[in-house]
Amino acid sequence: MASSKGLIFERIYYSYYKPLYFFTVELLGDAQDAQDVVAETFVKYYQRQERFMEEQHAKAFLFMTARHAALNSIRNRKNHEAKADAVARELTSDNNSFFDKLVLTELIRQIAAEVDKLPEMQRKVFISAYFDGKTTEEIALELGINAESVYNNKKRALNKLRLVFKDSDIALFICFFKLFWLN
Amino acid sequence: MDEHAEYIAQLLLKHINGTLSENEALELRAWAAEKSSHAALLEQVNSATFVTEKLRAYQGRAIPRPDEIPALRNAMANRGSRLRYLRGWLPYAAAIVFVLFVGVLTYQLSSKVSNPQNDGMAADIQPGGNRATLVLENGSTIDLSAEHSGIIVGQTIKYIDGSMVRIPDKTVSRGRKDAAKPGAVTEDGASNYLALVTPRGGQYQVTLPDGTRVWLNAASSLRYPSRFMGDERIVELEGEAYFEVSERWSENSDRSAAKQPFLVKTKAQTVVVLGTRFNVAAYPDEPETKTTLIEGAVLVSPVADRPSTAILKPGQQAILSNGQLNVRKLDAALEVAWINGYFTFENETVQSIMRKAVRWYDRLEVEYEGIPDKRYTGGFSRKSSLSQFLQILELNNIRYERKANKVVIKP
Repeated sequence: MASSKGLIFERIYYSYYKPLYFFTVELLGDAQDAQDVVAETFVKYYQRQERFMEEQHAKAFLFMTARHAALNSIRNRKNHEAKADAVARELTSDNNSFFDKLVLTELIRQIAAEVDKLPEMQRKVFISAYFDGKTTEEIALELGINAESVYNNKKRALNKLRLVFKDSDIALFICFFKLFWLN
Repeated sequence: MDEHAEYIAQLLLKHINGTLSENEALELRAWAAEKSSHAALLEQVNSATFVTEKLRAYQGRAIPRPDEIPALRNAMANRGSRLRYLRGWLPYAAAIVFVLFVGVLTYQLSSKVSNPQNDGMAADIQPGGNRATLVLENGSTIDLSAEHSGIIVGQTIKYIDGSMVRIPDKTVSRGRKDAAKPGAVTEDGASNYLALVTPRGGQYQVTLPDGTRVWLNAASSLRYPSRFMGDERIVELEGEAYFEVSERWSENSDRSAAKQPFLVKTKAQTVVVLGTRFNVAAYPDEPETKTTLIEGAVLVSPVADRPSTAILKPGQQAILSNGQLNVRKLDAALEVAWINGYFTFENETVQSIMRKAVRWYDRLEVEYEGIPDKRYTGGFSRKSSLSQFLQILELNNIRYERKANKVVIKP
């Protein structure tokens, strides 16, 4: 291998920003706090990046670090919501919530990645219809195509998404937690 | 506790799409039975509303650039300070006449520059950024997103974050059919040639089909095939690029065969490498072509009539000027500091410094009423605006006059 430098920071950053942010919002239920937690997480990663030669290790580190930072964030809220206590207890009691959120994050990340791969028009129609909840007429008007074409693109997008998921062999069996010592 | 989040997520995905195998269905059922929260999640993902809701939350978040996050920007700046430390090792310390610079200085300056009394502000030229154009074989062009710092070329072309580079529809209808898939091989088995072109004030990274990574500096172009075939991997460069070449063995050969060499052709020379890290600066407006080796070994071979070649060791630089090839030692890390966001100068004339500035600050024009005969060593952040850069010149007693985009250097 030519490079001894390991992973490119920016690639890791752009690959995991959204998943980490989503994950943290799920844990904290607060966008501002989540933003801070994600920032802190990437700073920690940045300072240790030479250690990581494999993306999976980097990924495990990022999520573990985000979890720690999220817990700290909850503890620092102090007086605020009594709800924080409950969340903290749930998070610390066992790894339940953490692991469930990790699974959910991973699921959504995989779906989002497939949607991103759709051809442009299908992707636009799909996002307008399913994310933005727009009607066929609204989409047709917006994209300057007729209703039938909207319908067809939507159908093709759905078919493709199903097909992709079926053929996806990304099923690498990876243990997320084996790097506990990193913390 | 089941610790395989990715795997469970994939099972859930297949569950949503109804493509679970029998064994997988059993596994998922067993997982759901483990804990009530698992069962709840399984129940939730059955709801299209739930999934759509989450997907919307996921996609709705725009990714800020790393340097837009203050804490991260600081962390990156601290890392840059290693450069200052390295500089102490320069064997050319004796040649230093002035030291321009550095991070700390730039910080002080940035507070000065934000002073409204500075009348240059309105017309200030901002530093360059991630800008590049991809030119397809049929001549059509794609402007690459400034949001991303690089692309990965394989079967398809993606940005570093994995999102697809969108090929405009008009490209498809105008060109041949396979132009729609720039990564594809044409019917006759030949590979397409692509060119990555940066304007003044632009830089971009590309990962080639063999895994080789290239950082392209401003006002440069790199021509490369969508697939490397034959015994050699050949790319053509004008301007400056830093390469991290991956080792590769010839496709058709048995185990005893040689490594497949990687060739960087510029106007004046060819660099032959097997797998290594090095920088090539071959700007048409520079009198010299410089090849700097960081790691491994490279062979530099001038195009000129009198064939003389040089094999570089790490930390050496080959300078080709008027067909004459010379090798010297230097601090190679400084030479490639540009990929980490720093301009560096080593015993350079004002003209040489200004040529670098012109490539980074688009619209900047430079004229000379006189030329200081001093040489300068140092550097500055590529994130500085033109005003900040000029203040550094001022601090080093380089006199100039600023007229909008034009800078006139005084004797």
